[in-house]
Amino acid sequence: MKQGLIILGVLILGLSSCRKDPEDPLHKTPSSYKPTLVDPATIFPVGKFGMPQLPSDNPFTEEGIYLGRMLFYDPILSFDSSISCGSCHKQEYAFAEPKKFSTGIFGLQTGRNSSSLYNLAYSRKFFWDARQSTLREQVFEPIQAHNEMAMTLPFLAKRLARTDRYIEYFDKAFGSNPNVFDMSKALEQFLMTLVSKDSRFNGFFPGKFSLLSDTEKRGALLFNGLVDFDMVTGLATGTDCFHCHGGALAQQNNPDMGGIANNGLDGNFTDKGYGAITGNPADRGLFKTPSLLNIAVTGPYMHDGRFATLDEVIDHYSDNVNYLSPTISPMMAAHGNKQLKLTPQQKADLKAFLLTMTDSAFLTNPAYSNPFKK
Amino acid sequence: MKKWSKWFWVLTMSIMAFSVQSCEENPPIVPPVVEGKTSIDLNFSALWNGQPLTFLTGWFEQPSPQKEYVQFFNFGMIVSKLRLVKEDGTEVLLGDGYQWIDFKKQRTKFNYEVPVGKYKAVRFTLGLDSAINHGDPNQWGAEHPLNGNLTGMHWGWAGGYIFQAIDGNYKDSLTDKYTKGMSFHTATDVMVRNFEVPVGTSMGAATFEVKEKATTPVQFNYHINRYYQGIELKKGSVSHSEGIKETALMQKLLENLKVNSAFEIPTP
Repeated sequence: MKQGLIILGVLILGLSSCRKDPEDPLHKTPSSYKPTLVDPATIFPVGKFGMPQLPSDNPFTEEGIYLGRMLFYDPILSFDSSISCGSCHKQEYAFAEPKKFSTGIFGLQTGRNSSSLYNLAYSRKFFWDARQSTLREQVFEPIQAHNEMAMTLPFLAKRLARTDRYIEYFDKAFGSNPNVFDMSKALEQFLMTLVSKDSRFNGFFPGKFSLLSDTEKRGALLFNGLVDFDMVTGLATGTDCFHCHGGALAQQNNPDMGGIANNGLDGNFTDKGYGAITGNPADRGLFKTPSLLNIAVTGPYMHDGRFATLDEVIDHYSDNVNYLSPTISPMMAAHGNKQLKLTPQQKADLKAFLLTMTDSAFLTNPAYSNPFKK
Repeated sequence: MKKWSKWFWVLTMSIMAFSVQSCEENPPIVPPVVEGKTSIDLNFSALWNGQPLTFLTGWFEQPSPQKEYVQFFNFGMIVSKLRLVKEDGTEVLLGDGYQWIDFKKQRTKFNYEVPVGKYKAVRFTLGLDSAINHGDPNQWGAEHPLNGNLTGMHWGWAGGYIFQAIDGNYKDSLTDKYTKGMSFHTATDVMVRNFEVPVGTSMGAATFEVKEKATTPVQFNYHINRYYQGIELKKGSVSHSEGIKETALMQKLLENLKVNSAFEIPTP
């Protein structure tokens, strides 16, 4: 009798284990709603930037993008519902924040400067220390970081599942109940749609010099010229910015070609950056090279926000590069370890050229704005 | 009682096995067996004095009387018209002929379908035809070797591709406290070079045979130390293929590739 009960128990257990858990959001019975696919060619300026490599398992849909946008701006993603992604990544600053460090929940400070967010589909490394390779993995980190949003994923999943708009939009976008996996895919979709392409720089790139003012033109020649010095005047004739900030994206995305580099800020590293990720001493002090598009509004600058203004940044590259930094980019050290010593006019020219990279349309595009703001 | 107990466990285990098995999705439909394709695996290796090149570790002694020491950070190249030469002299283009080889990223092994037969050489161009070199880098697909955003081997504003990028550091001696930068970027139309690399060594030509429905490994060695032969880095450790001095240095480096037989396809 006892054995019979055990057999019956095992049989019930076996059969019940085959049934889908009705609470499992990923196994929700799909509704008849069909999300509207969005052609990537309508998102990305193929003629300017080419087509990026896109994740094959997360096609763009209107509903997915909108869901991602809501999540980006929704403070319920933080533990105390006080801050959202958009709190530290503000559209008017190209999704950076004009503070050295940002403030997470309970007033805690972040360890690095808030990165700007645009043209992310063209990047393959994320965060200043390049520790993540996909956006959907990246988004989990600030959500869970104790000094940012300090949320736990199980708690977040429950919170999302109690919210009507997410019940509706997860269903529409993914045919699922709210869950953190599809949340990361929706955020990935929205973040990839943040495309900055309409700066004056992108209008005349490459080579339509006639559209530049004289000072911008001189700045462009410095920016895109290899480091050299005039034999008569001794003045630098090029600043070689383009090796690490070249192309229409004003960014090198190959980590080994300047995409992750030590730009001569320090001789000793209080923040090891990429080196802390790889554990390789040769990577100490290396950080992801940011795009210079919208550089006028993304200050303060560098991974630690040490430079408050663009002028200070130019001063660094002109006069204060630490060529003895043990892991300095070979491309910088190859300049003969000689400071450029730009003249005030050259600095002004370079700055004028950098200011052509501001994309006002991007900074005010309503498609990227907070959907909860009326 | 013992007998009953034995049957109890057999039955229990059977039900459990059945239950677990029944949870699996339907097994995937197995496609019909596809016979092996006729192909080669072309594998590029960068070597220093016969040893695999390493990045950001150790210092390699320069093959020059100055005994300078070099360390590599990055080593990539863009080739075009990559093709095999058959025993009868006819050529077989590999893919569309373009390839981006990156030794640091270990993007060095490429599979190409080729006809059966005996092959005696590999031909390729280091660099690109002028029209392609100065064409729109955005015309290529996201994963194409000529997509500048993928490879980083394109000088956006300045125009044109970098055909070969070698970056790193050098020291005058191993006790030298400070390192200096080394950057050799081959670019511009005048630096395009064609190469034919015969199978075998200077001791004798050979062939490799590609057999039907099999993948034949083909090893391609790049003896990078021969690129540096006779180069004194303290006199010039940078060339971006522009300007009188840097152009001359790059031409010398490229000449080294041919004169010193830097490329080799060992006899299989």
